[in-house]
Amino acid sequence: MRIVAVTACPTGIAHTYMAAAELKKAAQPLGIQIMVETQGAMGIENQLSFQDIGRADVVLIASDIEIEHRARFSGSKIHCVTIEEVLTDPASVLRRCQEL
Amino acid sequence: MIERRITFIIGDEGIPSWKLNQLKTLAGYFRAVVVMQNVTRLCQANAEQPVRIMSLGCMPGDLCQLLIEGSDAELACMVLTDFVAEQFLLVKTSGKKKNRNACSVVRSDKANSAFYLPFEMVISTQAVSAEQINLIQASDAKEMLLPRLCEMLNPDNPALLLEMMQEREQISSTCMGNEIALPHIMSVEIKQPAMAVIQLSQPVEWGSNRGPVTRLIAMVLPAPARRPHIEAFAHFSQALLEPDYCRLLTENTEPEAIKAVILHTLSRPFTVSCDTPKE
Repeated sequence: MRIVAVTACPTGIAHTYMAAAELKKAAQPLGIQIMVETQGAMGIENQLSFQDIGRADVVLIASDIEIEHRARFSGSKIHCVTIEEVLTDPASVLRRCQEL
Repeated sequence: MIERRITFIIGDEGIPSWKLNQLKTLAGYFRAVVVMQNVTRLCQANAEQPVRIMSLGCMPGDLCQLLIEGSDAELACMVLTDFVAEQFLLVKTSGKKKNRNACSVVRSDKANSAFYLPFEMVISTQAVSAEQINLIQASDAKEMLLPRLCEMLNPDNPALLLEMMQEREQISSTCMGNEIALPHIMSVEIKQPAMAVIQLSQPVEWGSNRGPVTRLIAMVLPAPARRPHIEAFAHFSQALLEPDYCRLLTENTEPEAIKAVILHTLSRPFTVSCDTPKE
């Protein structure tokens, strides 16, 4: 399974990168291929290409704020969660994506 | 049970085996259990098992602690402090001991790269006693403690910071789990990065279902973002994902030791190029 994810938080210096790290860590044992774009204080890093988005089974948005360039994902299966959900139990967030 | 901690930095020659043996012998004199904790690598081993300590892979520049626990910990601490001061770079964590060799926890201390940061930063610490906590618990902990953090971060204009902090908390709690809260903001009004740490002897609620907190670590950054600032703080917040790392922050009670652990983590992204700071 392929997931593309976007993480963002109000300040963009802590949660964005923490959530990205947690998602990548949790995806491996579940056999999920994940690409995470971070929208933090340094701007957009690891930006997802249209190809990445097209190939992904699910788009996971982990954010407490409105993310940038959301229109890219129209037509994709989108799952939205809060940063807290990701930091508390990243594996269950990913499992929910699998069940979609 | 008495617990003592000795904080130190490993020197250029690492830990040769004769030092390990000496440590083993010294630790064997006491009933207290002596554990060597490598803060940089987040691993630990009993001081009486030199081979285990070797396998920690301690490198020059690593921040370490000796954890001493037992009825004679106080005495063991005195003896081991002398040993550490002679063989390693002792980090000054309490005002009591006047050890000439000890280095203090300052970011600009060129002598060691363990706390080096390529930018100016103020870090202040404060402890809140048990009686004060009883008062705090009666009301909203956040309402009582956020103003205090802001006062520490910027004594000249705490009201402005407070407003931004409250706004941030309203979006979502800054509780990070493992008893740590990390209120942080970034704004054009802020001129210089700063951190403030409050230690609580009893846990308080921080408006999150990730549990109560005993350490409040606040940080403010100037906007627009500068890469070294973000690198340092993002590295620190990612370290908080590791429960073992959080335990280091919550179990250390000496403010200087907590400061040492935080500054050391912040400085990690810059260790390779510490002679040519990138700005």
